[in-house]
Amino acid sequence: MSADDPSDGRTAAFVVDARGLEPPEPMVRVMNALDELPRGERLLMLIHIEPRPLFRVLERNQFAYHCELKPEGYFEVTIWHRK
Amino acid sequence: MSRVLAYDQAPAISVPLRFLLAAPVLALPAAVLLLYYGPELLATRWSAAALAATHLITLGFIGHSVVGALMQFLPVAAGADIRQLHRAAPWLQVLLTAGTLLLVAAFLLQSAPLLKMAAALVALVVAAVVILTGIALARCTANDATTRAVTLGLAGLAVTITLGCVLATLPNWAAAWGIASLTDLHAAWGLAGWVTITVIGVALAVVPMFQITPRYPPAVERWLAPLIVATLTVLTLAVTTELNRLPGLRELLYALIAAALAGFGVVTLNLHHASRRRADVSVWLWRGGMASLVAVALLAVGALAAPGLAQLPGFDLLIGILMLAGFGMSVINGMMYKIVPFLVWLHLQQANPERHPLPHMGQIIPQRAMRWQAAAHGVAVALLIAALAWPLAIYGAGLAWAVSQLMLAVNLTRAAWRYARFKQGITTRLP
Repeated sequence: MSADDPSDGRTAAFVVDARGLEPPEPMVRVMNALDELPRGERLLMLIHIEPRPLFRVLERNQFAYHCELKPEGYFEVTIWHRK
Repeated sequence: MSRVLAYDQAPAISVPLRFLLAAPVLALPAAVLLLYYGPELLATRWSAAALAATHLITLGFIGHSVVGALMQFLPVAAGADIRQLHRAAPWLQVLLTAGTLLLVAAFLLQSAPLLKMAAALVALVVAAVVILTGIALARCTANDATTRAVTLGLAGLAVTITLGCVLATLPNWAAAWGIASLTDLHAAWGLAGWVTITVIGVALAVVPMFQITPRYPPAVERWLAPLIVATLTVLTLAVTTELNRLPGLRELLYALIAAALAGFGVVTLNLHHASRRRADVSVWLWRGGMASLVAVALLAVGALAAPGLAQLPGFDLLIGILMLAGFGMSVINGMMYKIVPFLVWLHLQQANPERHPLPHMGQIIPQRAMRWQAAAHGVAVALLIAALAWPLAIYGAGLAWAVSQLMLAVNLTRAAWRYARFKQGITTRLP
């Protein structure tokens, strides 16, 4: 998990629903969306597994993230530009 | 794909591919043994040809595949820094292949000096892999179920090879414990402690990811691999110490391992059943593998209930065929068909910042070619089992085995060739 806390009450402006998609589709979709993500906005990714390889890619590219397992059994990953 | 962002530091594609491509090439000579030795090969598990074929599968196919998969998996999934292992990969692959072939030659020629040389060479390579990987795992922060199971699998491999070396190089020690008991222990650690635990570790991550199933239950993630290792450890003590005198202990421990294998098989089959995706070749190969695992468990429990069953001719060989060809080779084959196209696609994307048109992942190995190969593998396993009752079926098994492994080698080589061709195309188009 990132050290930054994204819980400021705002909802993500961009959503990538990658549940049920086979690799490499989840990575392709989230990386394309991050190309367009404006500073100050956040991206919400929904995915059926914990996307651990993505976390290091995010760190390498100066993004912060917060990952949470939902009771329904999927993961919500909130991503935003590191300050 | 992103034009801006950098990807993770995966190893060069040649690192895992050199091991994965070697796997079917080393399994292919087993077909020659089946066809040349015929029914004699399956007369007893102790026949020179049966021992040679077994080690072509375990060290040749499974060993090379597992080492190749770890080279890719550990840095990407666990974040382990195994650059030293990557640098040593070409040497390790050549030495592992040489050790495998030397061991096979030693069995066929029944040469004790050759057996000692082969054992030393294989032990050297495995020690290098285990030590370098162990150091990297100890340094990395990942503590998930997959990393823990893969670590236990490496320990299982180390014990398997140690027992193998005792059998090959210290016959007097081995005789003191009983050659048959020690060989059973070597096989139990190899099949359950190394192969199955490594498959469990990889499955926890890649079955939900690539076969789009729900996650494994937390109890399976947490307890299954440690339970198998703990039981094998007690079994080892039971075989090598005074515990051996406790009546029924050894049988009980084998039954416990069998129950753990069956549990993994049934849970995985249920996950596939719960998936809403249409089953592809990879899923069918995994279903075949899990069905084999459940069959092994039922046979082991059956032998506990009715001890006469284990005395039937061919019982040991049936367990071996189901575990190695039915389970181990099927699941590895199935996962190769997910991982190799993915690696080709990923490395082409990384080499393609200008976004030239590239093949879709599904085009890297044609579906039809994968289906025919998987069918040939299924026929080979079925005919090998049939040959235990009808010996002449071994010739059909040998032919199907040759076709299956040749097709697998062609399919994987085709993926590597596509990578090389498109990579060259990208390079020549870059300014």
